Amino acid sequence: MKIQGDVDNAIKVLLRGLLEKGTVEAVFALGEIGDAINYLLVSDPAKIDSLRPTLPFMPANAANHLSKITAGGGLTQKIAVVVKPCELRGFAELVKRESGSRENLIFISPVCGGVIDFDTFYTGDSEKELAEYWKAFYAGEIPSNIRPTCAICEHLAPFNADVTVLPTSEGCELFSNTPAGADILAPIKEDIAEGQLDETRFEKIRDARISNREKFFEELKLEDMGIKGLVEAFGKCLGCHGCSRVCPICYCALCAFDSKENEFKPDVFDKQLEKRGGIRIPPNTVFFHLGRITHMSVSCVGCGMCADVCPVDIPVASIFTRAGDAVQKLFEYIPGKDFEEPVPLSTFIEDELTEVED
Amino acid sequence: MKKELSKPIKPSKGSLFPASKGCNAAVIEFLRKGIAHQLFESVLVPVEVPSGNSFAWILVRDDALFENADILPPVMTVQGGKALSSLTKHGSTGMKIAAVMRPCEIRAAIELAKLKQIDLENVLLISMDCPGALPIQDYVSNPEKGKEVFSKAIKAGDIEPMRSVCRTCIHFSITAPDLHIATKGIPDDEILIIPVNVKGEKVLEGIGLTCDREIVEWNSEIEMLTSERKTLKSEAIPEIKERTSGMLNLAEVLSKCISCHNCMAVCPVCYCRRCYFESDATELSSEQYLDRAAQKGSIRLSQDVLHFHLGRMSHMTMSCVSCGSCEDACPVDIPVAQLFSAVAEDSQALFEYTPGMSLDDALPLRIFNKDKELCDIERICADPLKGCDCK
Repeated sequence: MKIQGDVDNAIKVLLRGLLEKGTVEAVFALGEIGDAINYLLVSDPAKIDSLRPTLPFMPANAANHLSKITAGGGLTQKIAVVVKPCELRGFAELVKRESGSRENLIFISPVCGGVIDFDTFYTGDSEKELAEYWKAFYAGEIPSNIRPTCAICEHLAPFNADVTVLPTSEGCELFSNTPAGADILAPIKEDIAEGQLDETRFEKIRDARISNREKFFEELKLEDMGIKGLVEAFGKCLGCHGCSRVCPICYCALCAFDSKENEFKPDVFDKQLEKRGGIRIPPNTVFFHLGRITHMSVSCVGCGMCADVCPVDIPVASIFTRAGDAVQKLFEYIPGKDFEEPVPLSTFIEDELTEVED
Repeated sequence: MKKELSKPIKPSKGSLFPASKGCNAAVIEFLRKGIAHQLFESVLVPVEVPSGNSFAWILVRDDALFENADILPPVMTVQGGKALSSLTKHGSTGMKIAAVMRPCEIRAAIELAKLKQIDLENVLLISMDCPGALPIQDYVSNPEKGKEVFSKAIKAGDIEPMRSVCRTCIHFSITAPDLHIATKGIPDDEILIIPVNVKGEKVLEGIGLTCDREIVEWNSEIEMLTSERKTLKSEAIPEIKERTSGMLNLAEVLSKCISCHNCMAVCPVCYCRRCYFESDATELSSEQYLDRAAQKGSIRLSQDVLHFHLGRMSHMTMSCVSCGSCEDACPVDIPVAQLFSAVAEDSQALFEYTPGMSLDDALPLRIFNKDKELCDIERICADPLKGCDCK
């Protein structure tokens, strides 16, 4: 379906229609609250106006909100959800961990040009930044004002979306991928372009991102970092653990690294000091990050929330995405690609990793 | 015995200590002497991290580690009270520790000691005249420039580049340490070490330093600065109050909140392992989300932004030392420290309580003063016959 004009307006027309006809009970999408952007849950069609469904901004990875909304055991009424591809992937990973249910959620997801980081969006002139962003996107280029991990993300197009949105310079095109998607597009069906989304249409951006990714990983030199490199990278960490709280994969109610087990008893400090002559307080700074990497890297979707929330600008997302890339390749796993595919570390295949295990 | 040691004395004299290589080198020299005289075995002090872009608390025993120590770094990284809590919350370490911290970090440590999150038994608290701290985000983006700005500001006595709550801080000198390093109104090539209690006096004695220098000049300098700060504060507080008064303004100021709870995580006073506002108790069911959306037409997510901030405020406002860590850690630049500090000013005034100034001042919400408390608010006397100040 080709719709002329502003892409957000087009989606809003669709969403308003869904609420008015009672096809869905509520709509979950980005919207304005004063000067701020947050996720909103809207059930009054008149309040659709405040939405900015395709805004390239991510105040929270929506997977965390969707997990909270559906963790009780699945919705009994339908919600139309407009989220970015990596948010949908994050949610799929949470569903596999029994921290959410996709039941009665209808996913609308755009081909994503990346998201503008917090500082640029809130401290800069956001309308100017947005204009630059869309100009680059429509020209098949990577916008310069997006999160570093967005600029290297190869999964621009959503997996598991019921409806895929392709923003174009004239407006947007909508593609239904599932019966649920066809249902919500039914009222405007006469306009729907037949067929699947032609991925070659954004291949230029994807290719650029893939080559960026290789270069970015090469320059990061994670393999050569060693403990010295990690101490340098995470030296300024404040231990706020904001990275873990905003991570869609870190779903534990109490992180192991915030638990009592991770705290030193007085005699441990005494012994450590005896041995080493000095000890960082609080201890275990690098240990926390390494631990978190081992816990979540297989499912890391590279959304970049962790780096954006870091008060001291540690490139957490770059390091974690790099580690995630390696672990995921090892298991031939794309996190969030499939709601059913088991998480590699929760399954055991006898013949697995023979090349590693010898 | 323990109580005797920490009982404050009215500081009247201090010991002049040579500082020809600057205050930092002098204090480190003093700390070395303390270790040499076995008055303490290790020192908790900020040390520049290997990449040179920030500072971390290091418990130092090996003399070589003092090389990159900075007793007054341009930024506050982990709040010192929080660091000391990490070190002693499961009990006192076997060794004696000297902790060199900013005045508001000392105050947080005192509050945490009252809350049983710090054991001060083997800790010697040392503070210094604090020029404020730079916003951490500015510093880490350009540490070299940050250092330059900080040292220039110290020389000029300029508070302008510092964090907003530092600009309105009136407790920037002696709060409740055992020893205080005075620099204001003291010649550049000297520091004045002032004992604030018997514990501090004994350390100076142990090192062989005599307290024969009057503190009058320093004192008048501090008084002058305090009155300047009071003026700044009296201008800033009404401004933030106006911006945040009433539910609508408050919601507006907090509208950018992404619920990362970094403010809580770095707050020295928020010591709960698991915040109530992150517990099951505040979770909503799917039906509740949909019901609320149906009732209001549209709801924001997270649903508990106001609830979280107001709840956190009610939990910690009495002990808020206005250290500014919360605002430093906010990824979307909400003036959270200014807001919490302004509210704390009022809630603390209500109980005539200044947090972190003495271990002997009981936490107001832990005690009940039957006869006098809050009469002016409740407008009823607990015992009218007995009479009280309430009229």
